[in-house]
Amino acid sequence: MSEPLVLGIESTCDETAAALVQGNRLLSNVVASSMNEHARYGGVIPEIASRAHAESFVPVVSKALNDADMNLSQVDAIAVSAGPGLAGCLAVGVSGAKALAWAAKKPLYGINHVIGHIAVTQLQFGPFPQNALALIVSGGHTSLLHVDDLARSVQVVGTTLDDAAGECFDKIARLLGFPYPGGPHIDRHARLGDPNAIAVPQGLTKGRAGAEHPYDFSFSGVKTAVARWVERRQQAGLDIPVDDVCASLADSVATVLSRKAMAACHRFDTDTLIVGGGFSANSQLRGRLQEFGDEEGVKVRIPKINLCTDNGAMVAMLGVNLVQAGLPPSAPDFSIDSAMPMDKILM
Amino acid sequence: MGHETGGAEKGDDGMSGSDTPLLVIDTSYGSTVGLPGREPCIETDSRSHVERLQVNIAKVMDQAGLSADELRTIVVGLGPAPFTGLRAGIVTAKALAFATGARLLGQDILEPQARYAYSRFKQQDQDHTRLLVLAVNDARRRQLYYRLFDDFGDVEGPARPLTEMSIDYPAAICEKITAIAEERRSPDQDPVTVVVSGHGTGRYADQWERLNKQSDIRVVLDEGFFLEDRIDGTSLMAACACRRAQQGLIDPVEPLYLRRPDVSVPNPLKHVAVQS
Ligand SMILES: [Zn+2]
Repeated sequence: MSEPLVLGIESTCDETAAALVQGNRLLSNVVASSMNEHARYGGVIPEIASRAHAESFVPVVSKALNDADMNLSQVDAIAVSAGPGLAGCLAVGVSGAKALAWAAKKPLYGINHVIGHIAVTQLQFGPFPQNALALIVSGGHTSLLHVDDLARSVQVVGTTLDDAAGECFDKIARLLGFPYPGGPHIDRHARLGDPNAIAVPQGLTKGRAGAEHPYDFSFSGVKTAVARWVERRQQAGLDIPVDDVCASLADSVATVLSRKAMAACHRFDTDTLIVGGGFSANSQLRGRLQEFGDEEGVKVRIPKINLCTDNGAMVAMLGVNLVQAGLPPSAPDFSIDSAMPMDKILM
Repeated sequence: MGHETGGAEKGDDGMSGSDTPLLVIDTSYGSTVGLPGREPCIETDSRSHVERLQVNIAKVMDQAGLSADELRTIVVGLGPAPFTGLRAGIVTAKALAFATGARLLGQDILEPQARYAYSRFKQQDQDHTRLLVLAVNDARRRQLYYRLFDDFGDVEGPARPLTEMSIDYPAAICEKITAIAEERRSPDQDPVTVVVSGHGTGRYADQWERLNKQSDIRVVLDEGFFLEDRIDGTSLMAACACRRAQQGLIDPVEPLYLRRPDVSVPNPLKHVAVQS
């Protein structure tokens, strides 16, 4: 089995997705999103997302197989996100995947969704080098990971002490009146504004806190500072320069993420930074990482936009790594883990 | 169903040779997995579906010496029932049907529950009163899923629901049932017996007293859940589903949630600017 064919299934949040990956070739990639149903609530409603997963599960899997011109009997293994994520959503994907795996007599791997976000870059850039650093940025996660062996050994180098970067953007987007999801709106306005217009703090970069937490993040101060600044302008009866607010915010967040990622690369003596997670679609972050990487001699692997957001390809790709590493599949009674730790790759 | 391969005679239970092997999966309360006529696998913990359900399916199939590709029909409970557990069973059944090519039939649990209660209480009923069955399932948060059924006549005959499937507080259900029982009373003023049956019956025993206070209504409580009655439960579930399919009553295989999702809209922040 030189090139394992894996069906990957994803249902951690508001995307029901399935994909087929053989080796590091993507054969099909199907995503059904319930995002529009959440938009009017300003955030993902778990029960609405779970209902959508239950409706979409079989159609999405079926389409992924059809698009690749494959049937279930041809796959070597099935992989499914077992966590972290919304419990009700995970329960749908894992229940369905267990049934498929049993009926088709295929091994099933319950994998860590977050590790999938970095695994997916192999579809674009090929296998991981030994000793890589990874930056995960999404609505729920902001972490630096050290990856010795993607199938077996991942350590957490740093993480956010409060909000995730994406979460911070979402909150400010709401304050500015952007519809959900707000990230793309901030991104667009930030391109038009002055990044130095307002002073946005860069959490855990200076003084004792910075020294104690060189690879950790804090974004709650960013959120508070921007909110206060906006309120003061309002109280003074002044306009809010939305483009400048967005530019200053995006610049601050992108800079602190990039700087700390580069520092960690030096610390672990690695020349490759892997970037993953929904927030890695942010153009200010992509630009800043590339710029710092060029300066510091670090190769930065940022996936194409459609591989940044949640998808089945990331799950299937990590599944391929696990099959290739010869790891045993998950036990038939494995659980979901909505708070699955990042150094746990497989249930 | 019209598309069965000919020759197979329908039995009393509505099932025919072309329907079997038939697997019943229900997660409306705890979980039940079984092949009619054989000992089912029952879990009372509703929080273990993700871990246990597929393992239990494999177990009952192994015990029967069956492999997945031999399955012809899968009957899945559609609730009404609380969300998360119900969905696990339905997604499992849909995925199994997809992977095996088995025919998938959905069956609400209140109709077989009513038939179960009826068959047990009709024999006891010496006075030949008018018998109504209120089939319920615990919806938590002090509510019940329910549906009221009329006398079934022949036990094997069609079920006659007198209400829609719905969800409400026991007190409100009592009011509705009282009004319907009044209307349905026979011209010679025979008393009406209402059998309340299913999970949640005992929990709200004091509430059903309201019905008893009505002079012409006698209330009988029956906490038993038909699917926990070992072998007979899965047979009854399968029979209901196959009979409905035979009559062309194919229900969409979708969960009967009967309750809207909890939605908490985030605090509205002061909007500074609205543009895009
Ligand atoms: Zn994700």
